[in-house]
Amino acid sequence: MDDKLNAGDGAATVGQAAPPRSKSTVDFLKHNFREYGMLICLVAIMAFFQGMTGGTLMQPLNLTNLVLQNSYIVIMALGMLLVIVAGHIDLSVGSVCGFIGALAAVLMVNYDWPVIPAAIACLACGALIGAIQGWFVAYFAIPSFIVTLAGMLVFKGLALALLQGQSVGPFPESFQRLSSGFIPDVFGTDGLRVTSLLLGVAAAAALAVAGLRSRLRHKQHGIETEPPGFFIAKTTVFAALLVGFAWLLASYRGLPNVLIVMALLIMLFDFVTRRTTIGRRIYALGGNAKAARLSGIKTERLAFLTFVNMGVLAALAGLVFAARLNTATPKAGLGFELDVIAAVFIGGASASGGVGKVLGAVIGAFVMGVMNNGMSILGIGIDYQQVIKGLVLLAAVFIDVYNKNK
Amino acid sequence: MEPVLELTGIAKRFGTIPVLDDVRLRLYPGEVHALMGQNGAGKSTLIKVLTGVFAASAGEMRLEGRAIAPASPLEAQHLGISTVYQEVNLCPNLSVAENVFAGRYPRHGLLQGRRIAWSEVNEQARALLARIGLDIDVTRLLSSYPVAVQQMVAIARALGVQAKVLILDEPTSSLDDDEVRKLFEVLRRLREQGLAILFVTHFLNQVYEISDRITVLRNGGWVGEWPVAQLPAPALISAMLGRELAARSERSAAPEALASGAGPLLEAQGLGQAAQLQPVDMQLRPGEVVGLAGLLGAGRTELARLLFGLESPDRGLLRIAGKAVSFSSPADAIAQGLAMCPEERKTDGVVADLSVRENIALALQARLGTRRFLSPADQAALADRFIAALDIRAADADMPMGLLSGGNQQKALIARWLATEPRLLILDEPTRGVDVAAKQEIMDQVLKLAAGGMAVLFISSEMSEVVRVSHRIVVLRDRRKVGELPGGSSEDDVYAMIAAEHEA
Amino acid sequence: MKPELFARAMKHRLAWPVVTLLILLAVNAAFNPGFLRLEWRDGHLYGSLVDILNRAAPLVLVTLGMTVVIATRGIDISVGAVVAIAGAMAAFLIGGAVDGATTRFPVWVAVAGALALALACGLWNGALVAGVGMQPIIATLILMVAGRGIAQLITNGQIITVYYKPFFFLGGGYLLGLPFSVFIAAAVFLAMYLAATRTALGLFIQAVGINPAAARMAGVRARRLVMGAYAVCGLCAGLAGIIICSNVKSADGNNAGQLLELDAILAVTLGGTLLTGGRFSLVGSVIGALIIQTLTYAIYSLGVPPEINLVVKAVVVFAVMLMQSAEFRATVRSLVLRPAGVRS
Repeated sequence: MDDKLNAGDGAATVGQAAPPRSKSTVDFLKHNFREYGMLICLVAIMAFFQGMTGGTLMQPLNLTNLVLQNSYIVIMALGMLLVIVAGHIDLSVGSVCGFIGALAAVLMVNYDWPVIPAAIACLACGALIGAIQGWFVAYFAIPSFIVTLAGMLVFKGLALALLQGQSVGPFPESFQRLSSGFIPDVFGTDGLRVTSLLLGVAAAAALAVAGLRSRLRHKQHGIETEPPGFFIAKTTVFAALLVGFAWLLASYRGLPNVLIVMALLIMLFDFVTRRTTIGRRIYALGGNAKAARLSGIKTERLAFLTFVNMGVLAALAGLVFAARLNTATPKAGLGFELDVIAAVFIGGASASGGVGKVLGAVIGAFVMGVMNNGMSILGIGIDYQQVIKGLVLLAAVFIDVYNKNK
Repeated sequence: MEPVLELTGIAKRFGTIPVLDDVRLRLYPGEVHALMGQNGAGKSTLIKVLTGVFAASAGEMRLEGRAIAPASPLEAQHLGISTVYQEVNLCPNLSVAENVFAGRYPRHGLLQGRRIAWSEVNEQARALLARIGLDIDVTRLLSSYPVAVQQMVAIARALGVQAKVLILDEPTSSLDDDEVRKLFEVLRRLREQGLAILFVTHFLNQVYEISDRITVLRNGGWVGEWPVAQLPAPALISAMLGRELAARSERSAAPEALASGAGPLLEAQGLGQAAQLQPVDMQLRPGEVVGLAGLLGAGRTELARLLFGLESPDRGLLRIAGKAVSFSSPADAIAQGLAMCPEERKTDGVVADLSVRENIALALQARLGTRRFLSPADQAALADRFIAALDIRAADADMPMGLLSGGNQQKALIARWLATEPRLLILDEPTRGVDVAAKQEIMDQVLKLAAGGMAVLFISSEMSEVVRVSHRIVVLRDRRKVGELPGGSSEDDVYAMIAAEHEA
Repeated sequence: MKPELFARAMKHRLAWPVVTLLILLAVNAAFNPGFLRLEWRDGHLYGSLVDILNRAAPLVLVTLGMTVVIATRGIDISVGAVVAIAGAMAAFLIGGAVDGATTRFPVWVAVAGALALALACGLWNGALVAGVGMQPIIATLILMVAGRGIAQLITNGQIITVYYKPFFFLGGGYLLGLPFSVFIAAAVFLAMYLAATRTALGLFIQAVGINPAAARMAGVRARRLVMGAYAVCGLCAGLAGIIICSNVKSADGNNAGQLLELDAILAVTLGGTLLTGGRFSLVGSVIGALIIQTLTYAIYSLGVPPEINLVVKAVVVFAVMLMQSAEFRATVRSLVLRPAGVRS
């Protein structure tokens, strides 16, 4: 532990920044292991399956499918992360997902609503559902797992009722493009979708620049930074990964629309959780609700808002899923909540609240997604997949509990 | 110089029960002021009034000359009264810098304060910590630092909110000597910077080491305020207890001498736990009542918990009837014939929704195991026996224990342990909340049990009881054993021993 | 009935559950002529009531197990998965020989194997909660996720259909005119009731649920107790799984026991046991399970679509939880009794 108490030197050091320090690489890795650990895990798993499947995993078509198949899980994981960080849990997301999908189908197909108003109505409905559940959890202090368990039942039933037991579809073309569309290619070439590739390169460049600026700002304010070698290596690797990923996707049909939606949401939530006061307040609430209240944080309202947010994201995921299948079925959403919760925990969230990162949840979702995809390619049955999913979840929670009890 | 905080005539009543009466306090800038008092003195109530948890029923509070009446802890904070509690009330999952600034991030450009500029936050946090001489990585999680450092972060946070008064509520209870030393360096620094510090503690040593003035409360009333130099330890103890300590007074009648010859039932050699108790040597013989004497916070309950397996010692040995033992849970200790009636009966003793008879039978049943069942009839017979013997007022043995009065709950708990017929019974504050007549009964019971061959470890804040009932008295102070006295010693002898250490 | 007697009877913990059940039976009888009729046919009792008892048996079993877990302040949401696992194991050990006369292993071996696996699941949950210290909802979530996969592994991803007649007796046979499954449930209830009232287990579990610190201090070995509670819950779920498998004559790793945990939690709550743990009532849980089953029957026979069943159940859980929520009661109180300057 490198804390020091300057024994009575009396000199106030206000306004005088100490020279910034860069720790040794080993030291740094040790302390940030968990953060980069999950990412390394994901890369390792991808490499493993890439090898095992003889290169099928990273094929542009498969990679595109991978993204599409996990899009709705990732979207919901963003909301579930905030709920779990706040110290609660939401078991109803799968049912809400299915219900909203059914609602969208009924509005668009049966009542011929245009796409945009129908989508907005669906998102609003999701918000309402989240508000109702959040109200009971936050203001009446009913345990969240009961409220959302009841919600799971209610919306499963309502979805069935709405669809009258049938599958409803197909959706209008413009709605389908949400999930199965790709960004238009300005250059109009077949083969390599250059626009997508350029977007990837731009993203990589933006990331590098942002990283550099942040590093410079840290140095200016006297905050410790990563060792320079590590920084360069990290930036290069991330940039390469981004460009490589974009290139692979560009080789098939380009970047899917839903990927753009996901990316925007991920950036938004990452920003909110790391750099806005409301985001940090949720972490404070999850870490020590009493202390949070003493600091003037309105803990009930905050918890309420996390549920509203979850409702909206579940609704969005419902729309994405329905668009992907091009029909709304009564069985939609079955078991989604387990995947979403598992993703959040695998990504490093703590069961007792207060800990968890947006990027972690996303990586967790993809870890499971890659495993599912890889195992499917290898022909490993659904049964094994579920067992392994359970084991991975176990490992993640185990590590969390172990760390806590240390 | 004007006091920065002045309380006059503060009174607090809960319904018709007075808890504080005409209490005054003056805090000057640039001083460390110790607030002292024993059980029921009203210290915690006064702190709650100061920090806005309660409103005073009468009296006036003035901060820098202006009258104030904080209605909530948040408001007190905004007024400039910051408190650091024993259990650090910060968020362990956030970074140090975040904890320093939670709820008050520096305003920054876009979105005016809703967006956080981490570099600024971190830098300012470091500056604040530097003010108290702490140089640590503010981006690391609070939980990665020991409690001592966390407390300093809490102090730094208080500074960040422009505190004029800093209240430290028993900050050193879980710190070891080294950490206490560092904390005091910080306090001295802050004192130099002109902060007014109110220091609530039980540790006599620390009071004399760091404070400038002392205010003593007793039974909800104000006893006095003295500069530290004018209140040596015996006088302080006198003030807290409300009695003059005579030099050496009459010995009171000692209890009957116990049956001799028996080897020690319990032997503790160098038994200790880091930051909780310094190594203690102690012996208990069958048929002997040993009293643990000491002021509040001296470490009596800590020792008892070590003996009963509620805590694990990190050093020393424990022997029962000559055999070395190591208890990992109370069940182990009970299997060896120990029993303990805890101090906090509501959280550690009473199972509120179970009936009185089930509560009484619980420990015995636990020792007998699952299969040797005490039927409800057996339980009732057992309960009735003790209800009669200890005069427990319960409308009917089947009523939930939570409905009994405090005193009767206490008696029922004692009954629970007596039912196990232990070799060694530890009683931690058995007469708290019990009426006078019942107190007498309990004390007589204790002597009777000892006469029957039971060893008893008796802890009580009422020194008169300890002195009256013990064959031998072990004296503790500031988490250390400072000596032993024979039965028949007077209360003053005990206090003299407690105060003596300090004189040196 | 004399008024004082009536008032005292209503105060009894089981009063409301019993009344609810009676009301449901009355509703059923009102809408279904012949609901209460019992006949003797094919050598056994026949009628709607018998049907309800038969179908309720698995739920009763799972509810009994869940009661004990909830009493220790825990919860087990993996019971549905355990039901599937046990059913799968039993079907696997029996085998799908079409002739209906051959079986891979004797019935008792199949039952024992399934129960052993279910017990292992329960011990697993118990180890995570009591040993590792995980929160019950998370710990049992793991088995809930992995469990279906395990069940599928056993059935090799398919639905095993069993034809072996002797096995059907467990879920579909009759003894002394009543369904055999009812006897199984009754036997388990009896065993648990005796364990709770004739041994110290009942006392210990309640003590641990009401005040774990005080119980520990009194020498109760809380860890073992909690682990045992989850083990019993697993065992009960396993038994339920065997009965269901025998009844539907097949094992479906994916769908068996679907949503059973919700029904069980609801039944426990309806029976008067608080979700916060402590005092529990096995009798209440049985009544609660019967209420659920009767409700389902009513909804089904009234021709109401099955999805409404789910909604109704959820609303009922909800209402009960609200009643048990102190904050809610306080809000209602303050709204109903116009406050004279009451500060919240």
